[in-house]
Amino acid sequence: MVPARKKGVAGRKQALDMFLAGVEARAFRIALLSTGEREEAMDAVQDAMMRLAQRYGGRPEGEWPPLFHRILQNRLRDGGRRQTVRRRYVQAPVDQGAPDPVMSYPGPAVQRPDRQVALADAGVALEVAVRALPARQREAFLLRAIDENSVAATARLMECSEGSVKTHLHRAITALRVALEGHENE
Amino acid sequence: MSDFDTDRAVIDLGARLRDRLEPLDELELARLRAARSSAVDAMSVPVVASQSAIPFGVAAALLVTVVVGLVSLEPRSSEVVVVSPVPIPEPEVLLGPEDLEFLGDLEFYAWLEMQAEADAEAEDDTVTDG
Repeated sequence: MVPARKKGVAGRKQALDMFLAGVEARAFRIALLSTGEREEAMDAVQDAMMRLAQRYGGRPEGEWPPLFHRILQNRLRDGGRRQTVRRRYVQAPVDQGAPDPVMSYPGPAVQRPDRQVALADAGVALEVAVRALPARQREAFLLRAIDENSVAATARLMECSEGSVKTHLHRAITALRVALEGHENE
Repeated sequence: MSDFDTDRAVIDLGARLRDRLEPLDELELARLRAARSSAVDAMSVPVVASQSAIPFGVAAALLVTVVVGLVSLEPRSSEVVVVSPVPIPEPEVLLGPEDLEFLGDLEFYAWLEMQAEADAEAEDDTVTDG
């Protein structure tokens, strides 16, 4: 019995390795489009991998995809909240005098003047518009558009109905079209 | 906007976004591989393959039965002298190899039950995650 258990553990680890190998690059792309920063995206994917293994490694393999997706989305959301708090401090007024080191800290791409110019580019505008979508709409859009999942697969990953996915997608596309008005000819 | 229009827009915008994405460089790929390896090493795996063999309730009842049986076989000071002149051997001696293996299994089922409780707690966490 003991050897069988050991074989089971090895098999589970191999299965997890294969699962993570299959999703890591796509997860990184989704994280990158959600955060706009490669380092933050890398951290999010690494954290999601570790958390899945440590906390849900014993779950049936069929449960891993939605669990991993949910963990990643929560991690990205938490990262977004931290960014918001940091931005608040970065933008806080400071007393006159020497330049505040906090103020000189490079903010997100959209706040830097050099990148503001680049916003005129339709592609950048699209990326910014995607990041500005409400979380569930962005989630549905990226799972369909970047991960190329079907509506049914997206619904399973998001743990909601296909109708909800279609609604999220419809709203996301409407919002993106509005955001891209004026960039269509670029 | 129909579902068809939405799908076309999703495909079109997805293609534009994918074109903009720079591919992962070697360093990033290596970091992902290292993270995956660390995650797999850190994986905690209670293997539940034999969980369905015997329900926990039955296993617990059997465990109680065996324990009660073993206790009843233990010599009491007065009974040993009066009832049985033959010394009662150790409980392990009374049990055959299959029984010992069964006892080992029962310990494993008890461990699985603890894992199930841990899973239930983890499930609560999942709800929180959601």
